[in-house]
Amino acid sequence: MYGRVINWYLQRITGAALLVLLIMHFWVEHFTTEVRAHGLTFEIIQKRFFANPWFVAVDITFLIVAIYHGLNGLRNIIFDFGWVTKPMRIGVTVLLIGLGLMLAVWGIGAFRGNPHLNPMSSKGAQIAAAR
Amino acid sequence: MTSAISLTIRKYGWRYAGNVAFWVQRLTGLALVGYLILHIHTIRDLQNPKTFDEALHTFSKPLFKMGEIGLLATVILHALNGIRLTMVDLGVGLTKQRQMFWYFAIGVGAVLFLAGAIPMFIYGILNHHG
Repeated sequence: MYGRVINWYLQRITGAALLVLLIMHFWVEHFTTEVRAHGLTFEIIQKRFFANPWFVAVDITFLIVAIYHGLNGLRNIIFDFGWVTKPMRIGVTVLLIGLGLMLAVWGIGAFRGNPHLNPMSSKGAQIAAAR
Repeated sequence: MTSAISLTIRKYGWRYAGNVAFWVQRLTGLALVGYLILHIHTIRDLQNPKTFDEALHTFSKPLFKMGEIGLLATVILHALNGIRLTMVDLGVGLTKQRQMFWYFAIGVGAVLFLAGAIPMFIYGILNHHG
């Protein structure tokens, strides 16, 4: 497959994935019993993360898929206007990949290496033990 | 008045459906990228539980709830028109793609939007406490 075909195909695949992930995200953050009772709080998120490692896995997947779809869409828009010609296109692509990696590292850092959300860390163990 | 509107829609609605859809997808897409970056910025606060709860408290204020309702509209438009685009790409309903924009993306989208926005308005804005 050519690069452009893969690019087009991935935008559709990630779009479909985002539809499912976003509905799950809406449900979990707005409509679950504990959220409807008290509103979303840090404690609710922490309990989930301690109880079920899939939450962090799904959240990080969602984050990466959303960043890819968003920045790839932005790249399509930029190139579609036709102002950016051939040699500069690689520069724009590299810049967007850099931005994407930065956002991914930034976002993943909110979950991983966060002692408040990691039951294995000493701080997390203290919080978990206190319950 | 009504006939003037229906005449305008009949004259331009189908002709420009593709163009309108194109711009709707771009503008909502750009807005969602902007929101995504702000959203990632907010979840960084998970590293400090107190700051995070304060941020959530701020976002429960009516002004932010209005923004959230706007976000719902933006997401629904982008998602439904995205589904339409994918169907067109797959060759499903090629001859009906203009109708699909108005009836599916705008029509079904408006129903979904109201189903979400009315409770958000009642519970998030009208009954907002503190």
